[in-house]
Amino acid sequence: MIILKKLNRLIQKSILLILLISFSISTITFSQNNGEKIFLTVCRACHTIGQGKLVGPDLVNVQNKLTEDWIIKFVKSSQSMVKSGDSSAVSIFNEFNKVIMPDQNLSDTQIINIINYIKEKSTTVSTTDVVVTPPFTLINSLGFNLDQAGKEDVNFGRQYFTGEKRFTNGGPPCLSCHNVVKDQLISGGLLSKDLTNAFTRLNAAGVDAIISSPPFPIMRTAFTEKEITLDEKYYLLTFLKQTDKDAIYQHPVNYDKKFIYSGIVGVVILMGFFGLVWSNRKKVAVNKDIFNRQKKSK
Amino acid sequence: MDVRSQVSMLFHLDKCIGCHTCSIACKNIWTDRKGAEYMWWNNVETKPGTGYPTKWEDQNIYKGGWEKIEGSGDLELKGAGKFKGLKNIFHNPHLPVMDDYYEPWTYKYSNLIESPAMDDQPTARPVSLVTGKPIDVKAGPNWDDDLSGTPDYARKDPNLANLTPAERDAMFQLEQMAFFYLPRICNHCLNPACVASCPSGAIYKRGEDGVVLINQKVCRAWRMCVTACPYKKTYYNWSTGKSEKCILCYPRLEAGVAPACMHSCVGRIRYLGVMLYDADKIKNVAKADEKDLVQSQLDIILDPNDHEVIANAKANGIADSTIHSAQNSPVYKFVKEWGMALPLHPEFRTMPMLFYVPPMLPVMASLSAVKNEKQNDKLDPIAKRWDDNWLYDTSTEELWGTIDNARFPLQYMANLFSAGDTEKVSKILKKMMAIRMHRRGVTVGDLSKEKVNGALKDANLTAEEADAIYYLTSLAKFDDRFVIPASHRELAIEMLEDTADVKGSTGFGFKERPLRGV
Repeated sequence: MIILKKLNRLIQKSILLILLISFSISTITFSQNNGEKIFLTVCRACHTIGQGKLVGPDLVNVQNKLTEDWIIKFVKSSQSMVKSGDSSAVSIFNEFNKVIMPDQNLSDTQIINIINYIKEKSTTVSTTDVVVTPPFTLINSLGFNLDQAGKEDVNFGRQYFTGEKRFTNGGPPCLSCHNVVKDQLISGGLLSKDLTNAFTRLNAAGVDAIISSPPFPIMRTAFTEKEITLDEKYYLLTFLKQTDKDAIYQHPVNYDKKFIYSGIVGVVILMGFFGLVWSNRKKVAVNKDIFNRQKKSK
Repeated sequence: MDVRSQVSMLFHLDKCIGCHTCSIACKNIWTDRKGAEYMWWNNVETKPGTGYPTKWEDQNIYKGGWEKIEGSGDLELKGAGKFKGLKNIFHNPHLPVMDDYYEPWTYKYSNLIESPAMDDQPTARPVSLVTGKPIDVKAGPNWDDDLSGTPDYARKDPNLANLTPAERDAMFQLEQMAFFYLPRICNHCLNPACVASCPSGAIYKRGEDGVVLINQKVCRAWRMCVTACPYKKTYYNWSTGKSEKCILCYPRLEAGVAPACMHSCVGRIRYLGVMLYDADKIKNVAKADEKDLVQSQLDIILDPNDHEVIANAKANGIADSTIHSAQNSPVYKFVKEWGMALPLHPEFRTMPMLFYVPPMLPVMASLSAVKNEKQNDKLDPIAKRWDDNWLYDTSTEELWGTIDNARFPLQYMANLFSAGDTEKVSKILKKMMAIRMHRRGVTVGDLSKEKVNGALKDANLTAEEADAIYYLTSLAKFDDRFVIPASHRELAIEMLEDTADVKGSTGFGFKERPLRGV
């Protein structure tokens, strides 16, 4: 009976926990349905409307190319569509360097709102023009672009990346979730993508877009009201660019089992040291020998 | 001169019969509570023996008392204090564990009463008073009483250090074995290690009578006092989470009643009286060289009849009644006037303020060779014949021969009472022997005047002094043994609070309102 009661209580507790978690997740989702607002915060990092490719395709007149149902499905979970072998999904995925589009926690109506916004916006763009992706330029407050960045800037970028320098608005350092292969850095977090080859994968525009308005739910919440400033972004980009370039010259250390072995050896040494220091301690009762000899009832 | 008063107890060990009545009286009044079952604020030990807790005198194990630092000559607590305390704050290995005391137990008597009819006798099993579960009794507070378990206990007595192997062996020979009893309570030291060690400042030495007390509201269970006290006379109550110790029955003293241990003493071995001492000298005395330790501690006690001392005592706020008691103090007489008592283990440097008259008995110790043949010839043929030819020397032919060859080596006594100085102990034993001869001369009359006078002269006593010592030892009435002043609670309270403020309201003495309200 007692066990049953305990089990019951455990179930109640876990239900409560699940409710709590789902509630906190739902607060991340958007409450307003304004298509423009959602597009600007969520989609714009990778997509444009009539301004050419970024990380993902230009969405101009997307409503004519694909059905509404298909878009809703794809936005909600692009990978499951790719895996199910949907031909247009696979071809888009392949066309854009197999960069995974993150799943968006949006409702059907919200997605429809976005499509309506795109529809509206597409009319202002002349569809007959051949859209050429403009070259990406980022110019910092001193008027330098990425190609003019020097060693100093890379250095600053590294400091921001590791958290050695705090972001002005208090955002978390990149290292806590991301890793880059770089000899002078300790390995970073494994919570999200390794950024060593981020530049090759996404090119400058993509990286810039993700940093400016993160499309990933967790990253978005982490940087809500803690936006990265223009100069900080500039430094981070130069750093990531350099990292990408240097990647082949790095010697990533494989700690693997060294950690555990050195831990064990350390413990043995420490215990031995303690044993020596406290060898004269009183460890047992003074009468232990006598008590051990005494007869015991079982 | 900073004159202060101390209520001090004296134990005349020659009179102790080891009945443990004092321990029981104390237990019944103070420690018959949950968490205090194992405590014996007063206990009686057999010497030689390892005592309670086992081997408490061995400070290599328990790290109690003070240590003189070589070089600077300053004193430092051996096992407590700021740094050492911090080092052992989470685990203090020097603390005695329950097995060093003993696990207190009772018997399940209800088994006997409630048993149904059956083939076997019901038994009352021992039950732990700590866990409430049946236990195997491993030891008790006086497990080595009367030399029981000698190889395990008495032979491991820390006081046997510095004794030659021959002396040690002689102590445990069959038919030569001897022992005496050592009653112990808190020594209410002048330089208490427990007070010095307490991180919470919960322990203090009371101004009016020098009783060392633990404030139960301030105590935070650090238990540093348990380590620091070399006599292991502070105890940790595992139920209340506070440490406790002998309070010298101060509520009784304040009411003019003797402490329970003293009041119940069958052998009337205890004396209680006031002593005046010079607190200015404590620092130097505690730091004295080991060989001067006893003498300088005795020197700190002041003559209560000295005009200067009286004037200084009055200037220090000591009441006339206290000074008067000090002048009639039996303890002062034994310790200072007659020089017959010594403190217990002065080498711990806490300056204990209880004093012991070392036991002379068993003094008929040395053996004489005799010829038994003639005697044996007279015996009936079937009678048991003894082949050995020795006898206890009961003669008083030689004045001091028996003392030097006492069954208790002087060194053993000296290790207990005078930090190893045999001279001090032998002086006292000689005095006791001289008094005995003097009284034998008076009452039996078989000793020549010459011999008795010679003995008294050797012991540096006059016949009058010998009679006075004899009186206080053997004939003293209760009021001769118990001389303390009336307590002046009203004065003590006035020092702390303004009594006029509460006059006519709730009366005096309520610091907290009673639960029922007023």
